[in-house]
Amino acid sequence: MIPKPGSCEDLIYKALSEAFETLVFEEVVLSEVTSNKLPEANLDGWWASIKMLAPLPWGEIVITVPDALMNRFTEAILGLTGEAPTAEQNFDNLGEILNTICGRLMALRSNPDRVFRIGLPVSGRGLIPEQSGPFRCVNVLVGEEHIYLLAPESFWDDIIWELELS
Amino acid sequence: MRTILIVDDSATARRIIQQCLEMIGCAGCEFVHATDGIEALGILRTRDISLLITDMNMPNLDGTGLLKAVKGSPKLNHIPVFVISSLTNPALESELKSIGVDKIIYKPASPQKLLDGIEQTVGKEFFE
Repeated sequence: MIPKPGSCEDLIYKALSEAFETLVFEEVVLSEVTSNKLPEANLDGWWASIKMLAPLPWGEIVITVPDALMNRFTEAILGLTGEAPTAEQNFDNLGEILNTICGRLMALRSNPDRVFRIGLPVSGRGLIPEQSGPFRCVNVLVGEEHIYLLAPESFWDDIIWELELS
Repeated sequence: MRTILIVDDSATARRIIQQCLEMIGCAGCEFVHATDGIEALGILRTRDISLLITDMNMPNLDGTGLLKAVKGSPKLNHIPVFVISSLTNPALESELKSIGVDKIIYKPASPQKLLDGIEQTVGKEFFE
């Protein structure tokens, strides 16, 4: 019997916590979840997105991280001391962080008997890509800095989850 | 000298894997990097590789395609292949095992996970 997952907020928080604790040794605190509202902060920060392709084409997961925090993450991951991270390093690291988060999310959300598949990470700076449909925005805090994770509304849909199990 | 080929489209991931390997006693090995399966196959044709460590999710030729090419080649199928993946997925694990993967390691890679993988598959003599 495949256990039904907890709420999507719980799963996303769990996936974020595991990824940040293992990759950058930072704790995250869940702040709020909003619907169809783009984050006002982080407009000059860093973002990365990954498409979830299988077992269901849920759509795109997007993460945004403010500038100073992203530099801190890259310094921690690469063990940089006294040298500022390059843009290339930040793009690559954020893609790798989101890759790990999506891997955990798929494992927590999907039927383990089905093969999971996610796309390649795309990273950028500044305005995040426009969302193609309804989404929810999960706001978590690392210290006093905000990280936002946008996930398609369908990712929350229990009916899709039930269909996938059957 | 043993040569280890690390295949990942992320420079960060390649760097982390190499650092982990250096920490567990592979500091004397030569490390060669490739960014996708196509580039890796080019290196495998010309270099004597002792261990291949590959990511799953890559452009051009992904980890599954690279694993199939290596394990399907009489000239290359003796090379131990470790797949490093962010997707903790029993169905994918079964598929990779059926192709002949030697070890699956889930991201993030760590020195202990790589040490266990080498000891379980290649043996402690790898470090001699």
